[in-house]
Amino acid sequence: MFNKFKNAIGYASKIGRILLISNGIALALIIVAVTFAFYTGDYASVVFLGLSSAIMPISQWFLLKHKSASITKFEQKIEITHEKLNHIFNCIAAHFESPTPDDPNSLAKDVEVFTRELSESLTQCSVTLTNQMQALSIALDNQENERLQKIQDTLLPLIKTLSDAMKSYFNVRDKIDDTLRIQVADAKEMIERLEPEVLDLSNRLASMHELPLFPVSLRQLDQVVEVNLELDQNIYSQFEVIEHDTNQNAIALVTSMESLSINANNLVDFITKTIQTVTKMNTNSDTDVAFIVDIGHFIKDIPEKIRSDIETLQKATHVISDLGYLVDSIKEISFQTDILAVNAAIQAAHAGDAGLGFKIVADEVRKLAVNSNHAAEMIETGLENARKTIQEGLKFKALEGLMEEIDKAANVVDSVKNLEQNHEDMQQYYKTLFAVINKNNQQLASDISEILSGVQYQDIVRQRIERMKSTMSRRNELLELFIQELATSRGLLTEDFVAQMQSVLNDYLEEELHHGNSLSENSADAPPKFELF
Amino acid sequence: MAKTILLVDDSVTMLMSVKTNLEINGFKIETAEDGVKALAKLTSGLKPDLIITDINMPNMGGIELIKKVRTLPGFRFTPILTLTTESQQGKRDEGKAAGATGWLVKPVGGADLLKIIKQVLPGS
Repeated sequence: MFNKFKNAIGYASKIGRILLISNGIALALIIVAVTFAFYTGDYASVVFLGLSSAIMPISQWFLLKHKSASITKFEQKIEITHEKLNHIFNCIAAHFESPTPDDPNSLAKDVEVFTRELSESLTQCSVTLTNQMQALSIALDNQENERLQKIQDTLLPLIKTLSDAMKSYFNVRDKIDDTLRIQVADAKEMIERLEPEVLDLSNRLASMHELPLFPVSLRQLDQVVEVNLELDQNIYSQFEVIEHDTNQNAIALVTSMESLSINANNLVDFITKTIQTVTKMNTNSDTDVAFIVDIGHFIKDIPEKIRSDIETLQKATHVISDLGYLVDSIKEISFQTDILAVNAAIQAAHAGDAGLGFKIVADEVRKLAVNSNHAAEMIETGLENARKTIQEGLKFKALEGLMEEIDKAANVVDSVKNLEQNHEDMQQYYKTLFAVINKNNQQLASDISEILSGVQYQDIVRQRIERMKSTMSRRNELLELFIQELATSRGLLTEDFVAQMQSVLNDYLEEELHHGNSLSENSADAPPKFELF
Repeated sequence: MAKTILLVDDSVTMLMSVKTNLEINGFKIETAEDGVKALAKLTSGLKPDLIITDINMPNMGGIELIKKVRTLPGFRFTPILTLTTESQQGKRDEGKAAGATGWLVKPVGGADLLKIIKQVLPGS
């Protein structure tokens, strides 16, 4: 029907062109005739002029007369075409339903506006064309050339406008056709792609002895996704619990390790100070022990000295006893001297005055003898006292008991030596103990260090959970969109959800690949754990 | 005198464990939870002998922190080690280009960490 309308427009255009050409030819002939007559004065110019004057209205009358039926038919065709166009526009407008305010479809809106404007424009053109055709018909009947010219001038731009509008319409229609063709092709491709999956799904459902209707399946799928989301929420919660627990325990572990390390260091400090104190005490003890050893040696020498002294005293007793004989000798000498003095005094008395001096001497000798005897007695008493004293001190039993005590005292040296040896052993024991504790403490520090390094796994696990949560969140959003699309598109999906889900998987795998893990880090192509640039 | 190390990590457990580990071994430790706070400490006068930083952190990551630290006066040759879960070569290259001294992938054992620190901090 568009082609018919197009032909009708082309036909009207041809009429206009014929009128224009015939008028042009007539005008040209008139000009030639007048010019010829002016310059030549020949009658032939009159003939030409007359012929040309006759040709123009005749040709117009002839053509329009013969084409009036066609114009009428053309007018009818325009009317019919106009109605059909209106119908088409309404169909197109109905096809592109009015878009919702939230989701405007710009193409449908533009086409609707354009088709309405085009329809209005065509209606106006059609009315104008009809009016002009009627005027043309009247003008032809009345042979009004001037009016015909005006009508022709009006018709030509009108027909051109109409032609341009139709071209635009055809362009739009072609675009719509192309779009629809692409959509149909996409739909076909999608159907072809989904067909095996649908068949597979149908077979599987049939194998389960039930073939639910699509809306039922969709509803179930929706419910499955809802349950899946609820499950994920619970898993999220557990992830958070895991994060919280591992975090708290890691902090508690680090705190305990820190405390353990401090206590171990305190213990080492205490032992170090103890060793220093013991060493200092040991130095003092060495001095004390040396002093005690000297005393021991002194005590040890005492019995020998005592024995020597006893022997000396015993010798002195003997000497004293020997001195008793000397006292006796002195007494003997004193007695003899006394007798001698008495005899001398007698002899002096016999000598008379001559013997007076000698008598004095004899008296003095007698006094000397008495004094000597007295001194001898005193010496004898003193020696006796000394002898008694020494003999009292050298009583054997008493000395024997003392010697035993002294011998025991001499054993102190051995005890002190044993004490010194024990002290050295104790010192060595402390040194060994300190060395062992120090070594164990270093091992403890190393173990604490490694245990603290193990706490880093908490951070690794936390980050891994974060990546899992992020990926699950993306997956759930996609699933929700998928269900929404399934519900709204009645099975005709506009997005490739498989590709999007694959993208979620690929992103997750790539992200995990960027982070080391204990299973992959030992492989040959794994990057080194430590690297200095 | 004890060497000072600045630890930068958004994980409290990481900060605590590495801090305790290094303090046991005689180092003085300063900590920051992200690149912004670390940078604030450095511009406020802290002059550590070594910086150990994570890569993925909020506000400012490790790579950006290293780049900014290298522009600060007096930090051109300060050794900077990264301690991260990132292990791919691409990230390592980024770190190297930014000015990192070395790349350590978590978890790092206490003995290994001390050995590497002794390599970048002779005399420690």
